[in-house]
Amino acid sequence: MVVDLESAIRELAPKLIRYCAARTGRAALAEEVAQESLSALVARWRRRGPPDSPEAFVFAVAKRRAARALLRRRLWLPLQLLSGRSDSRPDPERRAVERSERDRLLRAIGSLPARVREALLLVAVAELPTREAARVLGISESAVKMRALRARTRLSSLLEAENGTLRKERSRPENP
Amino acid sequence: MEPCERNDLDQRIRESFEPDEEAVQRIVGRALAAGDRRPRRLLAALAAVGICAAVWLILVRTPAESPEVLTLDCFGEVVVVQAPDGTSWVFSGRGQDRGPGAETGLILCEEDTP
Repeated sequence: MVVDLESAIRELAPKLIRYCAARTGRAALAEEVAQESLSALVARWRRRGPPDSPEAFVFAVAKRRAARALLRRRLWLPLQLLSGRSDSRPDPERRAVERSERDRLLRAIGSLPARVREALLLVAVAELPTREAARVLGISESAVKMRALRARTRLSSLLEAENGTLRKERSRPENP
Repeated sequence: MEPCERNDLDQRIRESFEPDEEAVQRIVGRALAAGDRRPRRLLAALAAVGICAAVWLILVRTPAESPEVLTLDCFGEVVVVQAPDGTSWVFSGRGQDRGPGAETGLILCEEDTP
Protein backbone atom coordinates (compact mmCIF):
# COMPACT_ATOMS: atom_id res chain seq x y z
CA MET A 1 0.00 0.00 0.00
CA VAL A 2 1.46 3.31 -1.09
CA VAL A 3 1.40 5.96 1.61
CA ASP A 4 2.99 9.16 0.42
CA LEU A 5 3.46 10.76 -2.95
CA GLU A 6 7.23 10.67 -3.15
CA SER A 7 7.41 6.97 -2.25
CA ALA A 8 4.74 6.24 -4.83
CA ILE A 9 6.64 8.14 -7.52
CA ARG A 10 9.91 6.41 -6.63
CA GLU A 11 8.26 3.02 -6.70
CA LEU A 12 6.44 3.61 -9.98
CA ALA A 13 9.20 5.37 -11.94
CA PRO A 14 11.37 2.34 -12.92
CA LYS A 15 8.33 0.28 -13.90
CA LEU A 16 6.92 3.14 -15.90
CA ILE A 17 10.18 3.81 -17.74
CA ARG A 18 10.47 0.10 -18.59
CA TYR A 19 6.93 0.08 -19.89
CA CYS A 20 7.45 3.23 -21.96
CA ALA A 21 10.76 1.97 -23.35
CA ALA A 22 9.16 -1.28 -24.48
CA ARG A 23 6.14 0.61 -25.80
CA THR A 24 7.96 3.33 -27.76
CA GLY A 25 11.28 1.62 -28.46
CA ARG A 26 13.16 4.88 -27.87
CA ALA A 27 14.87 5.80 -24.65
CA ALA A 28 14.43 9.58 -24.95
CA LEU A 29 10.78 9.31 -25.90
CA ALA A 30 10.21 6.77 -23.12
CA GLU A 31 11.68 9.12 -20.53
CA GLU A 32 9.58 11.99 -21.81
CA VAL A 33 6.34 10.00 -21.67
CA ALA A 34 7.19 8.54 -18.26
CA GLN A 35 7.94 11.96 -16.84
CA GLU A 36 4.75 13.49 -18.22
CA SER A 37 2.71 10.64 -16.77
CA LEU A 38 4.32 10.94 -13.36
CA SER A 39 3.81 14.72 -13.43
CA ALA A 40 0.12 14.12 -14.14
CA LEU A 41 -0.04 11.84 -11.10
CA VAL A 42 1.77 14.41 -8.93
CA ALA A 43 -0.62 17.16 -10.02
CA ARG A 44 -3.68 14.95 -9.44
CA TRP A 45 -2.40 13.83 -6.03
CA ARG A 46 -1.73 17.40 -4.87
CA ARG A 47 -5.02 18.78 -6.13
CA ARG A 48 -7.46 16.07 -5.13
CA GLY A 49 -5.53 13.53 -3.11
CA PRO A 50 -4.29 10.11 -4.25
CA PRO A 51 -6.35 8.29 -6.88
CA ASP A 52 -7.92 4.94 -5.97
CA SER A 53 -5.05 3.18 -7.68
CA PRO A 54 -2.00 5.33 -8.45
CA GLU A 55 -0.61 2.49 -10.59
CA ALA A 56 -3.72 2.23 -12.74
CA PHE A 57 -3.91 6.03 -13.01
CA VAL A 58 -0.33 6.55 -14.11
CA PHE A 59 -0.24 3.61 -16.53
CA ALA A 60 -3.51 4.67 -18.13
CA VAL A 61 -1.98 8.12 -18.72
CA ALA A 62 1.27 6.57 -20.00
CA LYS A 63 -0.56 4.23 -22.38
CA ARG A 64 -2.48 7.14 -23.90
CA ARG A 65 0.52 9.45 -24.11
CA ALA A 66 2.81 6.82 -25.57
CA ALA A 67 0.28 6.12 -28.32
CA ARG A 68 -0.03 9.85 -28.99
CA ALA A 69 3.75 10.34 -29.03
CA LEU A 70 4.21 7.48 -31.50
CA LEU A 71 1.49 8.83 -33.74
CA ARG A 72 3.03 12.29 -33.63
CA ARG A 73 6.41 10.83 -34.49
CA ARG A 74 4.93 8.87 -37.37
CA LEU A 75 3.28 12.03 -38.72
CA TRP A 76 6.41 14.19 -38.37
CA LEU A 77 8.87 11.66 -39.72
CA PRO A 78 8.17 12.33 -43.42
CA LEU A 79 8.64 16.06 -42.86
CA GLN A 80 11.88 15.50 -40.97
CA LEU A 81 13.11 13.26 -43.78
CA LEU A 82 12.25 15.94 -46.31
CA SER A 83 14.02 18.64 -44.36
CA GLY A 84 17.03 16.36 -43.91
CA ARG A 85 16.78 16.43 -40.13
CA SER A 86 16.35 12.70 -39.88
CA ASP A 87 17.94 9.85 -41.72
CA SER A 88 15.89 6.72 -42.18
CA ARG A 89 18.99 4.56 -42.45
CA PRO A 90 20.38 3.36 -39.14
CA ASP A 91 23.75 4.84 -38.23
CA PRO A 92 26.79 2.54 -37.99
CA GLU A 93 26.55 2.26 -34.23
CA ARG A 94 22.89 1.38 -34.46
CA ARG A 95 23.57 -1.20 -37.10
CA ALA A 96 26.24 -2.69 -34.87
CA VAL A 97 23.87 -3.16 -31.97
CA GLU A 98 20.89 -3.98 -34.11
CA ARG A 99 21.01 -7.59 -33.21
CA SER A 100 21.24 -6.96 -29.50
CA GLU A 101 18.83 -8.62 -27.15
CA ARG A 102 16.88 -5.43 -26.60
CA ASP A 103 16.37 -4.76 -30.29
CA ARG A 104 15.36 -8.32 -30.99
CA LEU A 105 12.84 -8.13 -28.20
CA LEU A 106 11.57 -4.78 -29.45
CA ARG A 107 11.05 -6.15 -32.92
CA ALA A 108 9.28 -9.20 -31.59
CA ILE A 109 7.09 -7.16 -29.22
CA GLY A 110 6.33 -4.73 -32.02
CA SER A 111 5.07 -7.51 -34.22
CA LEU A 112 2.54 -8.68 -31.62
CA PRO A 113 -1.10 -7.66 -32.10
CA ALA A 114 -1.76 -4.44 -30.15
CA ARG A 115 -4.28 -5.98 -27.74
CA VAL A 116 -2.08 -8.79 -26.51
CA ARG A 117 1.02 -6.60 -26.57
CA GLU A 118 -0.52 -4.08 -24.15
CA ALA A 119 -1.44 -6.85 -21.72
CA LEU A 120 2.08 -8.27 -21.87
CA LEU A 121 3.73 -4.89 -21.35
CA LEU A 122 1.57 -4.06 -18.35
CA VAL A 123 1.82 -7.45 -16.69
CA ALA A 124 5.33 -8.59 -17.60
CA VAL A 125 7.29 -5.39 -18.14
CA ALA A 126 5.57 -3.01 -15.73
CA GLU A 127 4.79 -5.80 -13.23
CA LEU A 128 1.28 -4.52 -12.63
CA PRO A 129 -1.01 -6.86 -10.72
CA THR A 130 -3.62 -8.38 -13.03
CA ARG A 131 -6.33 -6.36 -11.30
CA GLU A 132 -4.61 -3.05 -12.05
CA ALA A 133 -3.78 -4.07 -15.62
CA ALA A 134 -7.44 -4.91 -16.09
CA ARG A 135 -8.38 -1.42 -14.87
CA VAL A 136 -5.94 0.23 -17.26
CA LEU A 137 -7.18 -1.77 -20.24
CA GLY A 138 -10.83 -1.69 -19.24
CA ILE A 139 -11.24 -5.45 -19.50
CA SER A 140 -11.74 -8.32 -17.04
CA GLU A 141 -8.88 -9.89 -15.11
CA SER A 142 -9.35 -13.22 -16.89
CA ALA A 143 -9.12 -11.43 -20.24
CA VAL A 144 -5.84 -9.84 -19.15
CA LYS A 145 -4.44 -13.24 -18.17
CA MET A 146 -5.55 -14.75 -21.44
CA ARG A 147 -4.05 -11.95 -23.53
CA ALA A 148 -0.77 -12.00 -21.61
CA LEU A 149 -0.52 -15.76 -22.07
CA ARG A 150 -1.15 -15.47 -25.80
CA ALA A 151 1.43 -12.71 -26.03
CA ARG A 152 4.07 -14.76 -24.21
CA THR A 153 3.45 -17.81 -26.38
CA ARG A 154 3.64 -15.74 -29.55
CA LEU A 155 6.71 -13.87 -28.37
CA SER A 156 8.52 -17.09 -27.48
CA SER A 157 7.90 -18.55 -30.90
CA LEU A 158 8.98 -15.30 -32.61
CA LEU A 159 12.21 -15.20 -30.62
CA GLU A 160 12.81 -18.89 -31.30
CA ALA A 161 12.33 -18.34 -35.00
CA GLU A 162 14.74 -15.41 -34.93
CA ASN A 163 17.31 -17.44 -33.01
CA GLY A 164 17.01 -20.17 -35.63
CA THR A 165 17.60 -17.62 -38.40
CA LEU A 166 20.63 -16.22 -36.58
CA ARG A 167 22.09 -19.69 -36.06
CA LYS A 168 21.65 -20.42 -39.76
CA GLU A 169 23.33 -17.13 -40.73
CA ARG A 170 26.28 -17.80 -38.43
CA SER A 171 26.77 -21.36 -39.64
CA ARG A 172 26.74 -20.24 -43.30
CA PRO A 173 30.28 -19.98 -44.76
CA GLU A 174 31.44 -16.37 -45.37
CA ASN A 175 32.76 -16.99 -48.92
CA PRO A 176 30.85 -19.75 -50.62
CA MET B 1 3.72 -22.35 -21.61
CA GLU B 2 5.13 -23.55 -18.28
CA PRO B 3 5.22 -21.09 -15.34
CA CYS B 4 9.02 -21.23 -15.15
CA GLU B 5 9.32 -20.47 -18.87
CA ARG B 6 6.87 -17.63 -18.41
CA ASN B 7 8.89 -16.20 -15.52
CA ASP B 8 12.11 -16.51 -17.50
CA LEU B 9 10.64 -14.66 -20.44
CA ASP B 10 9.21 -11.91 -18.22
CA GLN B 11 12.54 -11.54 -16.46
CA ARG B 12 14.37 -11.40 -19.76
CA ILE B 13 12.10 -8.64 -21.07
CA ARG B 14 12.36 -6.63 -17.84
CA GLU B 15 16.15 -6.83 -17.82
CA SER B 16 16.30 -5.63 -21.41
CA PHE B 17 14.34 -2.50 -20.62
CA GLU B 18 15.70 -1.83 -17.14
CA PRO B 19 16.45 1.91 -16.84
CA ASP B 20 19.63 3.11 -15.19
CA GLU B 21 19.40 4.64 -11.74
CA GLU B 22 20.40 8.06 -13.02
CA ALA B 23 17.45 8.19 -15.43
CA VAL B 24 15.07 7.14 -12.65
CA GLN B 25 16.35 9.86 -10.30
CA ARG B 26 16.14 12.46 -13.05
CA ILE B 27 12.57 11.60 -13.91
CA VAL B 28 11.44 11.43 -10.29
CA GLY B 29 12.99 14.84 -9.60
CA ARG B 30 11.46 16.44 -12.67
CA ALA B 31 8.03 14.94 -12.05
CA LEU B 32 7.95 16.23 -8.48
CA ALA B 33 9.18 19.66 -9.58
CA ALA B 34 6.67 19.82 -12.43
CA GLY B 35 3.91 18.99 -9.97
CA ASP B 36 5.04 21.98 -7.90
CA ARG B 37 5.05 24.29 -10.87
CA ARG B 38 1.52 23.58 -11.93
CA PRO B 39 -0.26 25.41 -9.06
CA ARG B 40 2.06 28.38 -9.64
CA ARG B 41 1.02 28.45 -13.27
CA LEU B 42 -2.60 28.36 -12.19
CA LEU B 43 -2.02 31.22 -9.75
CA ALA B 44 -0.27 33.24 -12.45
CA ALA B 45 -3.19 32.66 -14.81
CA LEU B 46 -5.66 33.68 -12.12
CA ALA B 47 -3.64 36.81 -11.36
CA ALA B 48 -3.60 37.73 -15.06
CA VAL B 49 -7.37 37.26 -15.28
CA GLY B 50 -7.79 39.42 -12.15
CA ILE B 51 -5.66 42.20 -13.61
CA CYS B 52 -7.60 42.11 -16.89
CA ALA B 53 -10.90 42.26 -14.98
CA ALA B 54 -9.67 45.23 -12.93
CA VAL B 55 -8.52 47.09 -16.05
CA TRP B 56 -11.83 46.40 -17.75
CA LEU B 57 -13.76 47.66 -14.73
CA ILE B 58 -11.67 50.80 -14.53
CA LEU B 59 -11.60 51.68 -18.21
CA VAL B 60 -14.91 50.40 -19.52
CA ARG B 61 -17.40 50.11 -16.72
CA THR B 62 -16.61 53.32 -14.79
CA PRO B 63 -18.24 56.23 -16.61
CA ALA B 64 -16.14 59.25 -17.34
CA GLU B 65 -16.31 61.80 -14.53
CA SER B 66 -19.44 63.83 -15.04
CA PRO B 67 -18.86 67.49 -15.75
CA GLU B 68 -19.65 69.90 -12.99
CA VAL B 69 -23.17 71.20 -13.32
CA LEU B 70 -25.42 73.74 -11.71
CA THR B 71 -27.75 72.45 -9.03
CA LEU B 72 -31.33 73.52 -8.98
CA ASP B 73 -33.52 73.61 -5.87
CA CYS B 74 -37.16 74.64 -5.86
CA PHE B 75 -38.87 76.08 -2.80
CA GLY B 76 -42.42 76.87 -3.89
CA GLU B 77 -42.03 79.70 -6.35
CA VAL B 78 -38.45 80.30 -5.40
CA VAL B 79 -35.72 78.58 -7.32
CA VAL B 80 -32.18 78.47 -6.05
CA VAL B 81 -29.46 77.78 -8.61
CA GLN B 82 -26.03 76.93 -7.28
CA ALA B 83 -22.84 76.82 -9.28
CA PRO B 84 -19.99 74.41 -8.39
CA ASP B 85 -17.83 77.37 -7.39
CA GLY B 86 -20.33 78.25 -4.68
CA THR B 87 -22.10 81.15 -6.40
CA SER B 88 -25.85 80.92 -6.13
CA TRP B 89 -28.76 82.73 -7.64
CA VAL B 90 -32.25 82.94 -6.23
CA PHE B 91 -35.10 83.35 -8.71
CA SER B 92 -38.68 84.10 -7.97
CA GLY B 93 -41.63 84.33 -10.35
CA ARG B 94 -43.82 86.07 -7.73
CA GLY B 95 -45.46 89.22 -8.96
CA GLN B 96 -44.65 88.46 -12.57
CA ASP B 97 -47.00 87.75 -15.40
CA ARG B 98 -47.61 83.94 -15.52
CA GLY B 99 -48.93 83.76 -19.07
CA PRO B 100 -47.28 82.14 -22.02
CA GLY B 101 -44.22 84.04 -23.15
CA ALA B 102 -43.90 85.68 -19.77
CA GLU B 103 -40.46 86.31 -18.41
CA THR B 104 -39.25 83.45 -16.39
CA GLY B 105 -38.24 85.19 -13.26
CA LEU B 106 -36.36 87.73 -11.35
CA ILE B 107 -33.02 87.45 -9.69
CA LEU B 108 -33.67 88.28 -6.10
CA CYS B 109 -30.17 87.99 -4.90
CA GLU B 110 -26.77 86.66 -5.85
CA GLU B 111 -24.32 85.56 -3.24
CA ASP B 112 -21.15 83.60 -2.78
CA THR B 113 -21.42 80.86 -0.21
CA PRO B 114 -18.24 79.29 1.18
